Amino acid sequence: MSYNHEKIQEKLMDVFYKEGELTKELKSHIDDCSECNSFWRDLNTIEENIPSFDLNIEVDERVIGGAFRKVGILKEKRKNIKDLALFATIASIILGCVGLLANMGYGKSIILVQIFLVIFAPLSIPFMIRQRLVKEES
Amino acid sequence: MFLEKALLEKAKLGDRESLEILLRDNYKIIYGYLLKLTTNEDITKDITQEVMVKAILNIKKFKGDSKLSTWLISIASNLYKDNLRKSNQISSMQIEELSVKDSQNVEETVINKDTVRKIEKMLLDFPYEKRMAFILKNYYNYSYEEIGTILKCPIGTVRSRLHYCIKKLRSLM
Ligand SMILES: [Zn+2]
Repeated sequence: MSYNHEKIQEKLMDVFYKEGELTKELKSHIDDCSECNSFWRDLNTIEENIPSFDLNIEVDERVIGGAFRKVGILKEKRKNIKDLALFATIASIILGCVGLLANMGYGKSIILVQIFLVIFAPLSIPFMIRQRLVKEES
Repeated sequence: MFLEKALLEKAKLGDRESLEILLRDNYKIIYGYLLKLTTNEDITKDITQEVMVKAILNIKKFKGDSKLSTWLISIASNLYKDNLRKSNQISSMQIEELSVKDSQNVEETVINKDTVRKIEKMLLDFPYEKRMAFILKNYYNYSYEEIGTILKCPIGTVRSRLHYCIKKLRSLM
């Protein structure tokens, strides 16, 4: 009889881990082969001697709370990046349009509009503040 | 299990309280698993928090085809691997401390303290991938298939890693 002990022992490990069945063939081999029999016994000894590592673990609320805080910060960061990307896109579109208009010969009018905006935009601030106050009151 | 499903549904809709309950329920599993891997409480706490961050961010992606704890263990395994890669300095400083605590409550009649210590020492010396497989099988009773899913490797690999561990441990007998 030329049994492949290694193969048998691999099957025994599967049985030990409940991933295989202890077939008749295996059983009779363990009974007859001292090598595999001692292997089988050792498997059980190993199981009995595996350290429990059983520490009294207590739920640390700070870890959970900290995780939620971290997520908040991460989401804020992501939002800022999104906003920045949106701003950059809109700004480049506007700049592109201005450039195109300037190229089409409207340079002078653009500069005039700019001057007009620089002078008159600050005048609208009190009006905007009033609008905001009305909004907050309602 | 039913309660977990209900809580998951709520958590996926953005209910923070449900998600908190789920994370609290699974805290000990994640922490215990990582502690067995790292044997260092500070590192374990840090990675546990990272696991929760990932879980909070990705809870909507969790399909529910496994238990939540399995999903979290899988995240923990990945983060542990990342952590190892980043810093190869996970110390075994606290092994002594751990072993003293657990050998206090073992039944001396069946269990040989010396063997437990030897096994523990060897367990910690195993390459991390083999150690993960061994811990998942021996402490959490996951099937080969589940371990394969968690560690993202074929069942054959799981099997051979476990067999490697057993053979090594047997040499201590
Ligand atoms: Zn044999």
